[in-house]
Amino acid sequence: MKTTAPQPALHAPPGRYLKERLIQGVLFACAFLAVVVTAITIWLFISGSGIFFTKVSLGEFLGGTRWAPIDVSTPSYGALPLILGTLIITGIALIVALPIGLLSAIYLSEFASQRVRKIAKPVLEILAGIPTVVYGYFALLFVTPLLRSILPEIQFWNALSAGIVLGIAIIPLVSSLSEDVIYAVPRELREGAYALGATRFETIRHVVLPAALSGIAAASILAMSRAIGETMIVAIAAGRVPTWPPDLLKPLQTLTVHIVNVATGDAEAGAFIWATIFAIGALLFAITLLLNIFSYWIVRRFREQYE
Amino acid sequence: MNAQTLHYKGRSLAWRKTTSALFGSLTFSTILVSLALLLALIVYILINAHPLMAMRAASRAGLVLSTMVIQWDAKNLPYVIVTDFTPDSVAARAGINEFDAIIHIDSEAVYRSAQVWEIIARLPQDILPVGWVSGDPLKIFGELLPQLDPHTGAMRFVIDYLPEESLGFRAGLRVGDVLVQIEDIPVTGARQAWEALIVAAQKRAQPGPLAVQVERDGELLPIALPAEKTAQIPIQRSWWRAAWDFLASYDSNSPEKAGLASAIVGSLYLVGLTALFALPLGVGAAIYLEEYARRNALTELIQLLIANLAGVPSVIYGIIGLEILARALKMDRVLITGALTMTLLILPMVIIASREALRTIPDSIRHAAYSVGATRWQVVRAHVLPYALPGILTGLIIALSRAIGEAALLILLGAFQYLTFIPGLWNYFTVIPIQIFTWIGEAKDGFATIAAAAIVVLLVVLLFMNAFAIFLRIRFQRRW
Repeated sequence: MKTTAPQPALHAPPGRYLKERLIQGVLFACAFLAVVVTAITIWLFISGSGIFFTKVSLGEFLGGTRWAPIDVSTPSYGALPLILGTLIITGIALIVALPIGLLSAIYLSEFASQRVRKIAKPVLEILAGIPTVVYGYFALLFVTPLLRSILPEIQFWNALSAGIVLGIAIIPLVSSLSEDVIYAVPRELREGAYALGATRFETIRHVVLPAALSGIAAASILAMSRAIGETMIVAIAAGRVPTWPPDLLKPLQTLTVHIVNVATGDAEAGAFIWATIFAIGALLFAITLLLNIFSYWIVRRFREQYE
Repeated sequence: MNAQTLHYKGRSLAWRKTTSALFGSLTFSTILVSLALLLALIVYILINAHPLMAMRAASRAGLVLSTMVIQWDAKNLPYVIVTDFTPDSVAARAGINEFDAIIHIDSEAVYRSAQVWEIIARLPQDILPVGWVSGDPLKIFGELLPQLDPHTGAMRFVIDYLPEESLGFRAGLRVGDVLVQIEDIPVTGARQAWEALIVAAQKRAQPGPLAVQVERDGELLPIALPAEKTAQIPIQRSWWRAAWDFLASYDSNSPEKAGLASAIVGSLYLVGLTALFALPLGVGAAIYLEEYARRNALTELIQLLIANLAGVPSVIYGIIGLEILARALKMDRVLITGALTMTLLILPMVIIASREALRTIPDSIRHAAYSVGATRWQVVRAHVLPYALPGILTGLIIALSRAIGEAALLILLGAFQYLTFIPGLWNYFTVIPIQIFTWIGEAKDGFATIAAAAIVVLLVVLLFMNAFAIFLRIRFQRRW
């Protein structure tokens, strides 16, 4: 509460307090929507997955290596190809995004002059604002042919190019989140290091980065969560077929892409295939939620307080 | 002090300074990498969108093309035919019919429709010299009948029926002739005769008569068959017309005719409705959290949940919208359902941005209003909100620019549609990113081009939205 409410002795017109209470109630309802949406989501995924798990055991779902939900004669619901596919794509994306994003953040925060910052930051913001279908197009029709000139056996749809482009797409996320935390490291720490004769690199390496580490870790985890939930780039460029064992040069499928497959398929509402999107969605929701909470926790737990 | 003594962990000062400078360059190079990627992406999209003008020029002249394939000696030989025929087009008046095969453009043999567009794009004049072969074999050879050769026992093809106005008759073919070969390609079937004609015509550098060998009364007879007709077709090559046609036409199976009209209207409706829903809800929640809420467990929970909802993947929202709104509430997968679901997706972003905007308003403003007897709502409505509005709107526009590029969520809400009408609120719909996704998935030549053109449209819309947000920020936002 920022301020005290006016005193009733001021003889307000009748109904004013009722109106005030009413407005407060409406505003509260808007904020409470977040609770409602979360509750509905959790309930929906639990009840929806319930239908799925009456037919498929949890062991088969998490341990099976054959994902063939539309196979009419022998359907199989082992999600391991999808889980591993998601992890592979995310891994490639992070290998691309973390070094580039982090070094960009260090440059923007530690090296850049005001003039360069004014050009460099919008570049990253534009990259962040490009819709993911556009990245998907770029991956499929530009990056894959480029990779083919190095790796001739790479297939038209493949995990590698989708992963690399997904990495490009999350560079701005990594760099802007890391820049915030690196920038927040107080000047005094740097000046202390300089006073001891450290070079810029030594200051960054031994003082600034350790001080910002928790924030950088949190940023990386958020980037990972974003990569896991990314749909369109993978749906366009990685093919939409689950493969086992996964291969970087071949098509693969992720958790999100299975959901797209069901939605763009011709299954009727009520078909069992729709239950699979709850199980997959619940898994996805749980993973991203845990990662988000984990990053939130890291920031709270390891934040260096400087005041 | 001697500089050489400034060692650290056994490294000389010179080494340390060099490392530091190199590291600085390395960090700078990552910015260059991002810049290069951005430029590569934009240039690549523009290059890919470039054939649109030629495609539209050809389709306006009536040349809507498809690339077909002839199976020949275990090889695939591509050729181009006219499909999606428009009877009153310029090409039709020049004599080109449906399923006719386009052989030469500007005396260059063409194999794929993309090649036709390339030639149109680089023609020096607005006249297109076209050479084509009728798609109706009957009008060339008449009817061919398979027959066993009485001497060798091999299969051969005899002209069984030949109309007098046919090309073959006028060139000298007669009923009873055995069709032996066209140029150097032996005739091995009725359909194959026509395909041989296409392949032979493609091999010629110029449109001209083809050497056909027939057997008449046991003797081989050469006949010059002028199978390929030519015409000069006027085309209108204009970027403005092409862009307008593209924006104003509906989706189609032919990339030359497909346009973005339904998708643009769908996107505008969707963004407008989403703004309509998200603004009051988001600002309401932000006002509650900033101006009213006590610091208690419920407020903490709400804040935590909002932060978490901001990180939930959009497909998850798609599932929620599909199951709750479209199915449980029986709203079906229509525009308004899409907008409501999209509202859920961007609401956390709007709330966070609005809270930041409200937080920049100094308490002195609130105190001044309270001191003259205003109630809390009067303070918020008359004083805090007007000052915070530019910041709130900036945040809203940035959230909406996320919504306009969002595809995954809407795929679940059935925006994956082939539409040839302008969608209304309770209609099935499509949006620009989904249209791009659908076109990327099409194998036919030309769909990659119109996907790139649609990407250009989407990026231009995003550019305008962001420019408007920046304008709002510069024009109205004040520092306290």
